[in-house]
Amino acid sequence: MAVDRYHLALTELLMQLADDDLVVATRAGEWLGLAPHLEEDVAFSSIAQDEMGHAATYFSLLATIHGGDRDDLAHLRPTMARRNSVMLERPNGRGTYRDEPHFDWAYALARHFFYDTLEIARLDRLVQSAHRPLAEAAAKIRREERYHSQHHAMWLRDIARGGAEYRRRLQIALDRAAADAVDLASVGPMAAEMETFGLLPDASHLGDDWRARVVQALDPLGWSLPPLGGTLNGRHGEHTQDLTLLLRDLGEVYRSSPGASW
Amino acid sequence: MTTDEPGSVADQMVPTDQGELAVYEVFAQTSERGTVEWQASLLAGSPAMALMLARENFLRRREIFDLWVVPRDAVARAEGADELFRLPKTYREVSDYQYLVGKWRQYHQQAMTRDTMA
Repeated sequence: MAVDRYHLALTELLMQLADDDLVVATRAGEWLGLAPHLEEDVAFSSIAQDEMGHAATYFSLLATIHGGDRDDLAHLRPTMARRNSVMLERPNGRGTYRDEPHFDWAYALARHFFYDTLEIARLDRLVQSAHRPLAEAAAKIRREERYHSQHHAMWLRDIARGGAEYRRRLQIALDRAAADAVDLASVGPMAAEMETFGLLPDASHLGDDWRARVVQALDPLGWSLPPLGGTLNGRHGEHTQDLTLLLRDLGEVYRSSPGASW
Repeated sequence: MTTDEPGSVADQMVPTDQGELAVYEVFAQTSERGTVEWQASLLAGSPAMALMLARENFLRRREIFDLWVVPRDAVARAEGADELFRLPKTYREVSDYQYLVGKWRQYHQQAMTRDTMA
C-alpha cells in the first residue's frame, strides 16, 4: 500500500508546514502596535503577514490532498491534531495581546531567528520535492524568507554590538527559545517515508543542517546554540495550553459562523 | 538589492551610537539613470537597520535601483543663511533686461526717422 503511505506522508508534511506558519504568524502579528518603534512595527508586521500568506498556501495544498476546506483546516482542527513545533506556540512574554501585554522583544527575535533558519533549511529541500505543486510553492516562498533572514541577522548583529546588557538579554532569550525547540527540526513519525518518496529530500539531515546554520550565524557574534529542551513533541500532536488559547482567539470569529463568505 | 548582505559596507558600519536610535534620511534612485531623490526620514539603531526599515516602510511596493540612508547628523545645513538666499537679485536674470527690447526699438525708430528727413 505504497500509495497510501505516500498520501499519509505528504499530508503529514503539509500539516507541519501549514501549522508552523499559522502559529508563528499569529505570534508575530501580536506585536502589532507593540514593537520597539514605529518603523520596526511596520517591518515585523509585514513579516507576520508574509508568514500568514505562506500558511494559506500550505493549507490550500493540504486541502487538495487531504480534502476539506483550507479555512476549516486552519481553524477547526483540535489542538491534538496540530503539528506545529511547541516553541512556536509559546506566548511572546507576560500578559496577552488584549490584556497587559508585557512582551519580550529579545525572545520574539530569538524564536523567529530559530524558526526562519529552519524554514530556509527546509525550503532548500522542498524546492526539490517530488510533489510538484509543493516544489513550486517552496521556490516562491524561499524568496521572501531570504529577506526575513536578513532582518533577523541585522538585529542579531546590532544587539551583539549593543553592549553587555543587550548581550545578556539575548542570551536569556536564546536559552528560553531553545528550551522548547527539541521538536523544531524534527519531521515526526513519517520522516523515513518523506525521504524515501522524495517529498522532503534529505529529511534525515534536516536537524544537523539547521543546527549548523544556527551556529554559523551565532558563532561570529560570540553566542552559542544553547541545549535544546522540551518534553512535548508538536510533530506528534503534543501541545501546551498556550496553543489551545491561541487557536481559541484566532478562530473566534470564524467559528461564530462557519462557512460564511468574508 | 545587496546593501545589507553580510560583508557589505552597511554591515561593516558600527551603529551611530550604541543602543541609541538616530534619525536617518532616506534617498532612493528609481531607475538606473534617475536622480537620487529624498524619500522620507526614519528612526533606526544602525545603518543596516535603516536600510532594512526604509525598504519595508517606504519602498515596499516600488521597484528601486539604489537606496541610500544618511544619518541626519551627518548632513550639513546652511542654518541662518535663509535671508542671504532670498535677497532680490533680479539683475542676474534675463527677464530683468526685457525693457531693453523696447528701448532698442525706440532708438531704431528715431534713427529711421532721422534718415527719412535727411
